[in-house]
Amino acid sequence: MESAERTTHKHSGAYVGVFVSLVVLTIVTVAVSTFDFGGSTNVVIALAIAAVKGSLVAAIFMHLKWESSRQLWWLILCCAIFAFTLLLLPLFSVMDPPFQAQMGTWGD
Amino acid sequence: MSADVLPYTVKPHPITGLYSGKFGMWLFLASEVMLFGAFFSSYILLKFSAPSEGAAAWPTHDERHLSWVVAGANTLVLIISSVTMVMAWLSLKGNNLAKGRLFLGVTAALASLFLAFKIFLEYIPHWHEGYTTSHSVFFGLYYTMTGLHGLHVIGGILVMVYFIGPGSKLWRSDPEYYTNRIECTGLYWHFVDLVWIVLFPTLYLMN
Repeated sequence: MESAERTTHKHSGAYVGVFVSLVVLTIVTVAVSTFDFGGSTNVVIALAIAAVKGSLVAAIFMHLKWESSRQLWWLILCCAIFAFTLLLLPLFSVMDPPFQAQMGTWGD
Repeated sequence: MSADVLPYTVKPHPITGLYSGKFGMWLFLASEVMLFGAFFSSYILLKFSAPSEGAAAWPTHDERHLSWVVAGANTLVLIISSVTMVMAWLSLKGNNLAKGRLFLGVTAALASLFLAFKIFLEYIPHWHEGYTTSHSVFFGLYYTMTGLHGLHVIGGILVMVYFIGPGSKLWRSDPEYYTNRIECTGLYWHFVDLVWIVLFPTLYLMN
């Protein structure tokens, strides 16, 4: 039971810290959205804060900070590459000249 | 008994270094990333390719009529539910089933509160105001993405209720196996929280 107690102490402190951080970052996300920084700066800031929040959840709540399995990290890396590519696809489409010619016409 | 049927439910698998349930859950979550990723990808494509003006133009923040207050409250509810979920696992690690079940119950209650806010303070009023799935491309995506997320919340509630009730019998025969199953439930639940963390600014705050 000693190891369980150690686990409890080690984790519960981190959980409280992440909880406070997530609440503060949510307030920051809303506060930042009320300002117009121009261009796509607002989007970048909102996504950056969401990335930090997501990383905190994955690292502490999902215990990735304490995981040492190489296979799990390979799985996460492959998943991240595929997901990133998936999100790049629409940007590649927007840069494609035939698609650009069609842009803004689907509502007509 | 169950360990004979399903190996590595408690001890780490020699190849993956994780008990099989946890590795299986991570594989499932990887497929979920691609599922939600496809919708986010569609959102980006449709937003960028929308006409700049006219009826089909992408609605501005004010034209969406979405309340960030309700969504912000729901964000808080999900964050708290993530904490209660990990507290349930910690309680079981500390050999306290009653406390673990209590925290699981609180998590399921918070998940139900999230759905209640979503349905009664958002979906129903929007629908009555005419903001249906066919109102615009934005609202089509809004209902699809938040609806898919809502289905995941319902799935989470069902699993938690099962482990509070009939599923908790496993504790008597194999407490460590039961604790691991709650950890896997937690992994799923935190992923649901994580998706909302991205959905909230994307749908409610970005212009």
